[in-house]
Amino acid sequence: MAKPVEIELSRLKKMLLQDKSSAPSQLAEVIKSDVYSVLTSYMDLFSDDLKVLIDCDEAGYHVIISARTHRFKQIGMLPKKQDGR
Amino acid sequence: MARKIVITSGKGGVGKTTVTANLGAALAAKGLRVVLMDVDIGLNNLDVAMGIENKVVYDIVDVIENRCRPKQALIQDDVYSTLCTMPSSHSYDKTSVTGLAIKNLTERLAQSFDYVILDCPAGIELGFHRAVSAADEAIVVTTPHIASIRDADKVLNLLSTYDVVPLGIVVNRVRGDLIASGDMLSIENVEQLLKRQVIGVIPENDDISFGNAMGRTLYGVKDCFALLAENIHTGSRKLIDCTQPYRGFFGAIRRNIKKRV
Repeated sequence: MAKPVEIELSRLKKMLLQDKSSAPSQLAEVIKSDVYSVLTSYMDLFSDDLKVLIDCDEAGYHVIISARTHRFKQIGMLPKKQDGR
Repeated sequence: MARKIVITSGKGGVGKTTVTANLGAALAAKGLRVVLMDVDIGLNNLDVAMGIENKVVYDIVDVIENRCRPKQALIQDDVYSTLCTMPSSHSYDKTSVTGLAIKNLTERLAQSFDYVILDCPAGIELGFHRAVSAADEAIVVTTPHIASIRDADKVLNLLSTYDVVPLGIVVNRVRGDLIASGDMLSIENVEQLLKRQVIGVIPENDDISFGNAMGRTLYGVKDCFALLAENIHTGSRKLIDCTQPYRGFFGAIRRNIKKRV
């Protein structure tokens, strides 16, 4: 079980980001859902292995996406590119 | 020319007035000429923290409305002759107290002192604007709690729209035992969240509550305010480590005892 300070820290990070960006609090979840649907075409991926972190500093906003997979899909199983290239 | 520093926070009850009073005393203990200005008009408490509420004849509104000279409104501290307080008015009529009026008064006082420290009201409305627009530098006071840090962050963002240099954060009411047990945000957590340097750590301490109740600043008693004053005056960064007594085997025993008591 997470310690109170870890929960507090996580809540505060989200809150401060939301205050600064006026982005909806579910933004990271929405991005995660979209990225998940794209990445699962190329690799075996569990939802818990995909992390989307939004941070900000003086330079701007940083969206950090990290995904962990044990297996990429084989060439024949990859989706065909739509523009035909 | 004096340094003009506003003590602000956004959230009320985090200890702005306590920090103002004790920082002023700690700077005066170094022999510096310090004036404390209570800009919290209508909800004045700096006079209470300094224990001078019975000595107030003229206040800041009297000075601004030219009923007296600034010197007549200043109240000298009993212990430190170089420490003076400009009390605020208990009247709610603030129409004459504009940001410009406070700025002009601050400029006048700056000619006779080394430090002008302004005690800012809570909130981010007109009172905040009045206090901040008169200062060159700002210190943001917060506690290691979620609501206070959120408000401190908003205030830091607001300060960037003024011509004010944020000197750093003062974290008040820090509990070393809770930090050591992972139940309170650490100083590093606060720095990471607010992306500013912490220049003062004030532990939760009965002496501070007692000092406030008795109308006494902690003259040279508390290292935390002496270190804060030194950090501000010299630009150093020395902080008290509140967790030190609560680390290790004996620290764990102390934490348990404190929790049970």
